[in-house]
Amino acid sequence: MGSSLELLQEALAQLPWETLGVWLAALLTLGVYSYLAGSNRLYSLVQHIFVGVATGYAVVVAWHSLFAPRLAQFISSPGSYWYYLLFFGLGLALLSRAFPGVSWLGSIPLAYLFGIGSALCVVGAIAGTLVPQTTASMIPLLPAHYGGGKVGMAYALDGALVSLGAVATLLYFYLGARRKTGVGGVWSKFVGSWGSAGRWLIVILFGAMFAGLVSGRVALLIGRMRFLLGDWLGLTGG
Amino acid sequence: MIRCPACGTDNRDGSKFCASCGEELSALPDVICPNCGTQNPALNVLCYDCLSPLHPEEEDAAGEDPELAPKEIDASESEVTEPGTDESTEQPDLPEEEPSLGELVGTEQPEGAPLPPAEDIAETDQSLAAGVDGSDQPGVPVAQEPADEEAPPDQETEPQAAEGDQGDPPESAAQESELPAEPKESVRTELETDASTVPEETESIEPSEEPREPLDSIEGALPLENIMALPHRSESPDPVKSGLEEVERATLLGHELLVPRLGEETRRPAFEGRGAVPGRGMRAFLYILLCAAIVVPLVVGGHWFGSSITPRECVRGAFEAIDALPSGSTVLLAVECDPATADEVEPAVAAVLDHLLERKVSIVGLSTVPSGPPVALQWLEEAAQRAGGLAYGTDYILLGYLPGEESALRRMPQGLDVVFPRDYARRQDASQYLLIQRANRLSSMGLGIVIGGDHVHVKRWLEQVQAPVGLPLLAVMTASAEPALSPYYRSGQLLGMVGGLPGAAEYEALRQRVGPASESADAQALAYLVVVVAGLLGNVAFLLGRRKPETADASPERPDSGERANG
Repeated sequence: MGSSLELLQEALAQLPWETLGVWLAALLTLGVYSYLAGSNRLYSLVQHIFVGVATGYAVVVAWHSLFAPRLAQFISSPGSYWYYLLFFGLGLALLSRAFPGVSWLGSIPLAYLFGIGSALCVVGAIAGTLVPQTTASMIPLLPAHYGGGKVGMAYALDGALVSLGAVATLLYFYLGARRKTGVGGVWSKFVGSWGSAGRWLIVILFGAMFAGLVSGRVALLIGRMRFLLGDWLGLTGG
Repeated sequence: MIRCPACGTDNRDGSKFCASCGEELSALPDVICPNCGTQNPALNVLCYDCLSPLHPEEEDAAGEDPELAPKEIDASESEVTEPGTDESTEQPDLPEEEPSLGELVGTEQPEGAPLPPAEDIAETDQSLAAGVDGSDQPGVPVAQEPADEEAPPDQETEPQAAEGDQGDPPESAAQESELPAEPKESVRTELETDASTVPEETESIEPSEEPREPLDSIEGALPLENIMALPHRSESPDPVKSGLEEVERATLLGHELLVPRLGEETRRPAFEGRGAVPGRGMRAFLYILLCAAIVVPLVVGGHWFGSSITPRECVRGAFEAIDALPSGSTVLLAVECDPATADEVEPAVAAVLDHLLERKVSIVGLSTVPSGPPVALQWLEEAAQRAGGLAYGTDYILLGYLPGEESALRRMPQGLDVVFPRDYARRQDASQYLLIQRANRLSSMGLGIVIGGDHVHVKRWLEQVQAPVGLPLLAVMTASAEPALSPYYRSGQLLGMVGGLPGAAEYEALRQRVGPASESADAQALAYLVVVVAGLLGNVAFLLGRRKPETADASPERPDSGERANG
């Protein structure tokens, strides 16, 4: 029994796994691209394989990276890692959502998760985005600050555009009742006209992001083509 | 779907007229039961599910008015008990003498289908008699008020057709009965003679001719938008007050417009006109063209568009930040992308890793994406192999997957061996590795490099690690993430950015090396050319297809455009 197992292992070890892997990857790539000709069984098969493999791999990674090391720590030194039991209990409480009778238990870890996550997001957004970006938008607008001359003028103009653009974009999200007469009417017209400039800046941003998306997809296609032509067919240097 | 009560044809939800026979599908919106929320036909008085009154306000008002209520109740009783003596009970008989709307336009109608049962009409009259105002107005619009307040907006905007025996609303039948034959003929004649002017009428109310806002294409993103778009209740047209002639005109106009247009719509070629999708042949041609634009330069090689690549300031910033690292320092590498986006950033990552290892900089890798570690391990092993067989654990290490996102990143300052008890590749105690012993804290890292599949992950590192700890960061990310992260580079929070394949080519140019990104430059340029030309041609075709109906006399307008304009 043992010898046959060793023979099988040797036979498997002698297989050209790398070549097989390249062929498998190439066929799966072609299977995905077969969707261009319409939905078909090959594409569905590849889709299911991808989802299944990705899910299975994520579970294995979570086990080896998260659960198994901490379980080993707890078993080796329960006194030092007693608090793992608390988190384990919270994790088990999440599973109670599947049972209507005790599903309320799942609210405890969910509340904990959402509360901590929200707090960290808010704090991080203030410290990492709001304050630094507000500070960075306060740009000196005098050319002399940049050394004067054409270069200084260009920097000052750039700073002015950034500042005005930031204010215009913020004004686009100014939500309030629009008055038609008096000071309120003037203010509404001012906000409306400046806010429309901010709207166009947002449109430009969306356009840039969309162009980046197209560029990214072209890069992905180039990557796949390099793989098919180089690693699989050997037509290029790979 | 809405089933036509006249011919039985299933129509699209929200249709006002039957696409087959032109029959008006619903004149009044359904009423929502205030007790159980069941959707009832407009003329129901009691909910057919729970028998609760559908218009309790009317009953309350009737109860509060001692003079009005008894009188009205008596009237209703007399109407019910003495059929044939009042106007309402005569209504079912009248349409039998008069031709229906479908017959007016020459469409076959099933016998008796549009007419509601006499019991329903009696019930309706009973409800009218119990109404508040006691006027001769049908009570539905008045009674609709409380139901509308509780009804969801989609039910208000898309009234459903009466189901089954509820059939046509009786007031429309009554209005038909009161319509003299001559006005109908005149209306019909007028519509037939004006058939050629119908496109002009619809053109005049075409919403696309109104000034379009630049963000109109994303309308509907806010849940309140649909509600705000509803007409105010007091401004909404009253279907009963709209007048007999207008109802007739609307019905006939709908028939004249919809039936031939739908027939023409089915015969329309796939790639023609506004909103059309390119045909399969056109799409196949574009795919082949794009594929050829990429394959030919890769196979043939050469620099067709010149070999000079000018690096941008942000790429230069990244290059200089790595170039300034002292030999023997350590860098934290956060691989925040999955295999789906790895192909795009791989050339940039390869260029950066080669630069790091050339500078004798050690690398500590990790990921907060479950599928990130295998991608990171492959990149690190390939880079170590290119650098001459560097040792795992000494020159580079991969700690693996870190779940928890924000909270996990916040734990990083506690020490890497605390957050990662074991490494990813060998699953050994992380604290045993020399590299971790040397650089266990973020403060001992010379630089942090975030490889982002999107801008969200890079922002997370900026907000949760760079801001509180002060670890200098640079980003290697997809091209689509670059615009969203540019402000962070301008503010100095990011030392540099390498975005997508173009950024990788620029980084290779700074290192004066030819890598996969430089070799793909021609393929990139040709592919962009194809995309831009195809986009321009597509827009030209779109605009031409849009103007075509305006210039041609017989060119039809889409039937839904009229609906949108009316809506």
